Amino acid sequence: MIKLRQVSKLYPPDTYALHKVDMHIKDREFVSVIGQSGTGKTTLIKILTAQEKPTHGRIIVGGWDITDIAFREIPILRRQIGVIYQDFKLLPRKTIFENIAFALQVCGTSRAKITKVVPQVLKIVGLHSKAERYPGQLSGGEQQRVAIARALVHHPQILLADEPTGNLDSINTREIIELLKKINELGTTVMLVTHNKEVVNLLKKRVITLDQGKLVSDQKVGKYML
Amino acid sequence: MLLTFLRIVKFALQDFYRNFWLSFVTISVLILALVSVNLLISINAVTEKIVSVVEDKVDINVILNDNASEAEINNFTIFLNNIENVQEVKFLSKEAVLEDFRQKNIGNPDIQLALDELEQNPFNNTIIIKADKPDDYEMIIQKIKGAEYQGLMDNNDFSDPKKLISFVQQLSGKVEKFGLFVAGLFSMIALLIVFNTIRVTIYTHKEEIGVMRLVGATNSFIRMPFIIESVLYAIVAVVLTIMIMYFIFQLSAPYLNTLLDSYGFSLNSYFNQNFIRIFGLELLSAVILTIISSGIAIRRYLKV
Repeated sequence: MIKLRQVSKLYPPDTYALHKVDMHIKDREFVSVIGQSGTGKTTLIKILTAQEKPTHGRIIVGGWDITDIAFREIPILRRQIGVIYQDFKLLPRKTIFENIAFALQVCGTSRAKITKVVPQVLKIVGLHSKAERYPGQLSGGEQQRVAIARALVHHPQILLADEPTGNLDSINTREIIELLKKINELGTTVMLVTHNKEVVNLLKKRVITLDQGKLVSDQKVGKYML
Repeated sequence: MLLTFLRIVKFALQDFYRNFWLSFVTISVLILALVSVNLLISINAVTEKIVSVVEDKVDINVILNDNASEAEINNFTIFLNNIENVQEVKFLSKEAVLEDFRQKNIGNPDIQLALDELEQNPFNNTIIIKADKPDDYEMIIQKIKGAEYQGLMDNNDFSDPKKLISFVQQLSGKVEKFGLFVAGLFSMIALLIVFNTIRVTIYTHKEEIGVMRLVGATNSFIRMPFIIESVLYAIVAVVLTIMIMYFIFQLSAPYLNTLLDSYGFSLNSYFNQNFIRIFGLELLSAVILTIISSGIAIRRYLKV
């Protein structure tokens, strides 16, 4: 599903955020990418979503070589990859329903389809009863679930989670991780970027460790070792 | 496609209302620029009319003395008719001149009374000469002065009507230059304001733009609402300018009508006749300029 071949990202003059990284994530896999701050985890997410271009190497997502992706093709890629962040990125003046519908509206989806799809994803994340509330009226965990629901509306093949539990307490953290596992079981490849030791140890899934931009370990059933 | 376009327009309208005061200021400055352009057009139209009226009115009056015989006058008339670029030579008897003067001053009882009290006709026979163009008068005056008919004339100091016309033209030229400067200045300010408005709008919509990018909205979908918004500014500004201009015409009508109404000219009808040409062109220019201005702001501040 995701292949990185000798991928490097150099920020001038001489800082490598990623350095000759080789990685292969299979379809329906759940992978945690761990590493301390500044080891290139977020750069990896940016490269996979075409926010940044690699300095060297090749990147293939779902069989599509996106190394030199055309400007006009970037939106197509982003509809195939759902992304969630630590700060949720919800629009505070829109209701939960509107926040999710917005993701479909801006991509030209019809009103009928929006009315059908939004309750479905809200049901998956367990928030269908709170559709008319505003983000400010929800807990951190619930807000992150809304962000997950929004990331799922385009039925992405891949879900990238960039420190999704960074702002959450341990109970909400567990809930979000369980939800990510559920989404993975439904067939979506999940890449979880985190430095939360508890989360990684709880998952008992594949763990890739980055250190100073280099891939230093790749364990099939890994533990947080840094 | 239509659905996408309608959503773009909806987002543009939302931007327009959410930043109401910013939109208000932007439109006001655009209106100032457009009104100054229209005032310039008005001044031009009035000046052109005045010049054409003056051109139509000017002529050379040759006042003949009482000693001139009919035969001499006939010869002089033939001579005048043969001068190049003379359009018309008209002989007016002293009685006709008196009658003409009475008619012109019919509303002035003092003059009428003075004329009645005079025992003799104070006027002389007169020849009125009209040239093809204002520029021709100087040459015609020289020919008359150099001719053998000096003895027939009571006056030989002809004022050149061209000077009057060029005075009007010079004055209007100066007004026009000042108007162009003001219109240019306001247009520049308007473009800078549009640029700044779009920049601020982009900034206030940072979150939404971020989400749009995140979920895969196309680049054109992210950018187009800002372009549509600037087009809306231009359209609203032109519509309001039209209303303001017709209000100005109503206010200025009493003053302009006394001056030019008898010549079949009013600014109202001038703008009515040239409505599409003037306001259509203004709309087109305003739309193009605001698109360019907002385009620069988008290119600079909106990273997609």
